[in-house]
Amino acid sequence: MLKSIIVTLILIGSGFFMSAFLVGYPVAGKKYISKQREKRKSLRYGSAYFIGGARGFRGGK
Amino acid sequence: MSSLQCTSCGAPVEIVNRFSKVIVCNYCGTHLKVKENSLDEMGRYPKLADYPSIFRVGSKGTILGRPFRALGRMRYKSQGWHYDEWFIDYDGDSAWFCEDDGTYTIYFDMFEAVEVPDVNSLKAGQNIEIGDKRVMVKEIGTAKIESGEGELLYYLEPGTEVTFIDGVAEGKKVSIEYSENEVEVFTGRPLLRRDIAIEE
Amino acid sequence: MSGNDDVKSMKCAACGGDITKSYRIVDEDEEIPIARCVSCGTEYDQYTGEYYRYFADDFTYDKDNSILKLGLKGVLDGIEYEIIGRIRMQDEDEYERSTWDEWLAVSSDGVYHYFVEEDGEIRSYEEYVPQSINLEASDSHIEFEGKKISKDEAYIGRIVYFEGELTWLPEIGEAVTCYDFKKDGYKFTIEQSENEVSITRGDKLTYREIIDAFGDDEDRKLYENTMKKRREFRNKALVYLAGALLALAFSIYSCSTSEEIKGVMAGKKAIADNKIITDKRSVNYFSQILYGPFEISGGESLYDVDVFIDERVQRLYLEWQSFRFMLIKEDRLSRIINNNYDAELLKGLFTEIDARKEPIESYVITGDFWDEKGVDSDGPWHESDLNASASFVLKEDGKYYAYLELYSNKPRKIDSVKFRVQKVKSYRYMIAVTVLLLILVVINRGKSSLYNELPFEIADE
Repeated sequence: MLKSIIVTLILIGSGFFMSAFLVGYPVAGKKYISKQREKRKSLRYGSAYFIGGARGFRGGK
Repeated sequence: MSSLQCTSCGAPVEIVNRFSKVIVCNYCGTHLKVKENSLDEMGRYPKLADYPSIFRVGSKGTILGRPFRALGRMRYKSQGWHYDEWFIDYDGDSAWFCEDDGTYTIYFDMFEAVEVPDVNSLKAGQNIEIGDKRVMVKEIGTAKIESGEGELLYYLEPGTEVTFIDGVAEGKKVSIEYSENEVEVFTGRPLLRRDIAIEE
Repeated sequence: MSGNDDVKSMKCAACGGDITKSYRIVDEDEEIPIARCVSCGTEYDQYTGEYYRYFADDFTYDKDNSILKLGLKGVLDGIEYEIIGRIRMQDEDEYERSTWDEWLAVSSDGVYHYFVEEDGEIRSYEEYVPQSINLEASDSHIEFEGKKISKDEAYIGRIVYFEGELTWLPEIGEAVTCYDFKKDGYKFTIEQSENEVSITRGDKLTYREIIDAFGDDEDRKLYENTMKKRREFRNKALVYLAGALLALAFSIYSCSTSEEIKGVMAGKKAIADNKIITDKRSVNYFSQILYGPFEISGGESLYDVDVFIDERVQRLYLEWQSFRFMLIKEDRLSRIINNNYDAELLKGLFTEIDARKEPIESYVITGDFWDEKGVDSDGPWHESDLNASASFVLKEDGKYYAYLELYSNKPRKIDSVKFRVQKVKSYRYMIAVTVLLLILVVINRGKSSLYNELPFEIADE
């Protein structure tokens, strides 16, 4: 009984913590920009971007 | 009550119910036909085996608060089972107390003469009309008269085969007995053991 | 008396040949067991008496898993009973074991009584004489004291085993039509065989009553342990259920709390409108639109972006359209283009946006809308996907532009693609917690019914 109360509190507490601190969601803004910047730094001749031109990273058809 | 002597062994026999037709001698087991002031020997048959019964001949007490006296019984036997039909004096009336499969039922004559259907055309679960009542057939079976004891209002010779129908109608049990010469229709109500009080 | 002595020596009723186990295919691929004569091929399925004689072992292997047994004596409600006989029945419509036992007991004053045991539940039955009963009321139902019972509710029980002393001589495989129904708080059973109709009324007995009447000290100890454990599991299930409801309430609150950002599509600059793009394989259409600026006031918050086709503007039919949605901070864009929002300049910027070493956008999502039809093994189908959404955390508040890039295989009105930005609360973790807690509820509820230290089944009480 006590164990089940503790388990319930831990689970709800964890869920509340992750919800409140928005854990695991993609982040827009500076973090996104720096991530993209790093990605683009790695581009070189012969990479997908230069082969495909402006459309090289498009996910669409 | 009248006192007579067994024509076979000379033992005294007492007749309690003036309508009794047969009395079985308690000493020698001879079946005696009751006439106005005498007895006629009908035959001698083995005494009934002593299967447990809540009554014995002469038992007194109350059923549903009314006094009774057990006068005699007939035993019906079939493959693997038997039942006892006690002829009782029930507060001045004639009644039958049936012990069957551990259940108790008190029966009364339903009608003197009613139309009953041919037993061969019936099956369990079927509705039949008895007088003005609709009866559902619960069971159809056959049994043989094993023997009897005490005094009896209706009498069938041991060995006689009877076909019986058990039914229900309007919260009551209905029993129909077909034998070679007659059809008897009884209606009754189930009893609990606590409904029956026997004086020790 | 015992009913299974001659099972193994069973012979075909038609020719006297040996019987063997076989299978019949029904409903295309389901195999059901039957008995078949090796000589004449006669088949005996579950609607024949022979089937039950042949498969008796399958229906009786657990016949000793009961607290009741022949010769056992016990006191219930002050009356002593002795178990003297038993009949085991099998539901004719089941191929697997689906049995119940009818135990015949005789009380100390000679009254017969039935204890019916099924799935660990025991009921006490006694004969009942109804005020009215009509088994021939109509083709579709029977009548019992004013209650109509459909004949469809009837099931056939077959005798698969009997032992001890009984009030009649049963036969293995004998069929009995049964009606079970409730009336006035009692359970009634009508059993109709060829020669007899029995009407009984049953009262459920708790297992404590049964154990107290028929069990020994060891049974009572194991029963107490079992009940204690079952209570513990039941309480645990209640705690988890309370937690699940709390988590669910939090999820529902979070899910229903959203704040839409107003005016996100108010300012519109069409940079390109269905520009034809030709490559080796196809001709496609390319559009670029800049929406905004609009104010997003809450930083460090979760947002949902929904991009969707508004079919009131133009239907998407057997075609596709892909999109790229970018959220761009106004001051960042203004700095790059020097506050010059000339369409040609923007066109050049956005066409080459991926080539910039320093990204302009704060966030990007992509997706496809499509409408297709075809034929597969289930027949013709026609499906479409007209919505796309994404969640993200926006760290900085302020003014933003939304840049929408559209690419389609047919010309599309640029106003047919719309988007919505909403400030939302996270609920996915609480949904996951709710599910986890509900799983724990189910597990503990199951254990509260099934936990058993006794060597025989007892039902949940």
